[in-house]
Amino acid sequence: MLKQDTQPFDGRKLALLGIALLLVFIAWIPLYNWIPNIWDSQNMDASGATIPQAILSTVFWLAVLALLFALSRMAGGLLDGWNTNELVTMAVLAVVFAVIFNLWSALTSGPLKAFSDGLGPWSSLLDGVWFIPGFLIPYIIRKPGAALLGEGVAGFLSFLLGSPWGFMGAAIAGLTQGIGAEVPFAATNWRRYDLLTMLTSGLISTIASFVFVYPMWNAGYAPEYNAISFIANLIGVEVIGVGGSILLANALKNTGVLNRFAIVRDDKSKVA
Amino acid sequence: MKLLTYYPADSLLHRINPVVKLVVIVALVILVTFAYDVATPLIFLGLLIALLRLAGNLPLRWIGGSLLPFVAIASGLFISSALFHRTLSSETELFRIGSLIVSREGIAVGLAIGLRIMFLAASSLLVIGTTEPTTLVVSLVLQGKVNYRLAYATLVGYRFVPLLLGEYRSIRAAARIRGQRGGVRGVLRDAIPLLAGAVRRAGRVALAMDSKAFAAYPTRTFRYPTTMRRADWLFLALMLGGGIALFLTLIATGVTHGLGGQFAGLSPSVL
Repeated sequence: MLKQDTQPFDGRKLALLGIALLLVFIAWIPLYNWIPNIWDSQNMDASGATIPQAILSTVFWLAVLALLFALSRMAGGLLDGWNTNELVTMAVLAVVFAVIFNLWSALTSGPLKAFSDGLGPWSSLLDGVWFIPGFLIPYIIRKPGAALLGEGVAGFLSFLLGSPWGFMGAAIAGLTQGIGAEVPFAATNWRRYDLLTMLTSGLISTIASFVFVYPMWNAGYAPEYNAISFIANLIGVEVIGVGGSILLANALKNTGVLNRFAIVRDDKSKVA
Repeated sequence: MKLLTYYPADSLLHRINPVVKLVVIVALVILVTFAYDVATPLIFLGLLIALLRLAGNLPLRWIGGSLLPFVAIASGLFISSALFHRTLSSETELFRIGSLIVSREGIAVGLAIGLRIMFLAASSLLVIGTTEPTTLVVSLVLQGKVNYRLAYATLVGYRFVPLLLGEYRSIRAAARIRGQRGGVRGVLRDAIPLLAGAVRRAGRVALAMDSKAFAAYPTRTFRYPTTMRRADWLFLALMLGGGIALFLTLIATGVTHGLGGQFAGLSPSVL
């Protein structure tokens, strides 16, 4: 319908780019912990961040931001296979979750805060909610970039509506989760949307998100605390995020509104 | 639920390129996130509010009103961080509530976290309060190099919020007439009709966009294109340089401290 001259988008290229970005993120944790060894001018606190860590983190995240902008420019062909209906539906589903995100923020840092504190590192179970659009939207639309854009747009709109976590915590975090969620779909060239692919998507998305928040909130915790926190986060993402998305999508399917979308057209891949 | 909105006015901040404003707040937010003392977020918050008032021409009353809902969230985080923190390097007990020890250090960490949330909200206000949503989208397309179909779809999503809230009220009212109760189960039951209605409405909007030949060409022109002017580069350099210089000065004078020991402040991946 538009840009007839462009080639169909190659999924493996995007999967490789996503994995490269993930590896940079993962390499950042040991690098972050190693910085004080080579450049430890003035320790801010015994277990807190040092000044070089604070400054290099700022530089690192600005570089990631620039890289994301460059990626979005390169991935221009990503949307070629999308029709307007799919595009607008993605944005509208994303905004529903943007509103839910902000209500969830108010709930979990207000009335539910004492409860989640009581859970300790297991409170990460509740974080599965932040991942739903990253699985629900690709499960319905099944087009290149649906996970990345669905989660990214939901995060960005949540920021625009006034998320208490700000631009970093809402928009960039959403984009990071989306990159992780997109990798398995891209690796199968957007052909498979079965339970295994969805669960892998949950796993990689959790890793991306965990590495992203590590320097900001987790660096001060003990390794055992972080390990439990990661496992709890993963369970939360797989159950609330992936499981919730599939249940929600199937309930929506029964209403008949998704008849024009790949989830109904596609009878090749059926999720048990 | 729109917590922050645009305040129409003409000012220096209103005229700065929105992408520049986004980059500036990302840098400032990362810096402030490293501080676990009370003074650092307070100083940055004060300066930011002064900037919004003087360079953004926003009335103080409006700024206060916009930040008010975040005080509730910040207080929740303050109370739980102050009461439920784990081991701090040193603790001066003030009083006890049952088995909970309220210490001076715990209260300080709670205040630091609470003020950080207020700073995050104020930083969002720097972008949202002084930027017309359409301008933000145009600058994301022109300077941020975001695909324009994606950018416009996102804008459609943003414009959907009041519609969706209206629809949710109708669904709720219909459920009440049939004698169904609200609460958590009510919200879950209402979710499917709400989402189904949203998908139907999106289809109609898409049809209208297609009939007006949206995205007929790979690029498009804008009625009011945004540019990067000298003032934008200057603002960017000043804010980044000033922010880092202030942060280093605060460390050198011993004001800024990192996190001392573990505590249950923010849920780890609550971002």
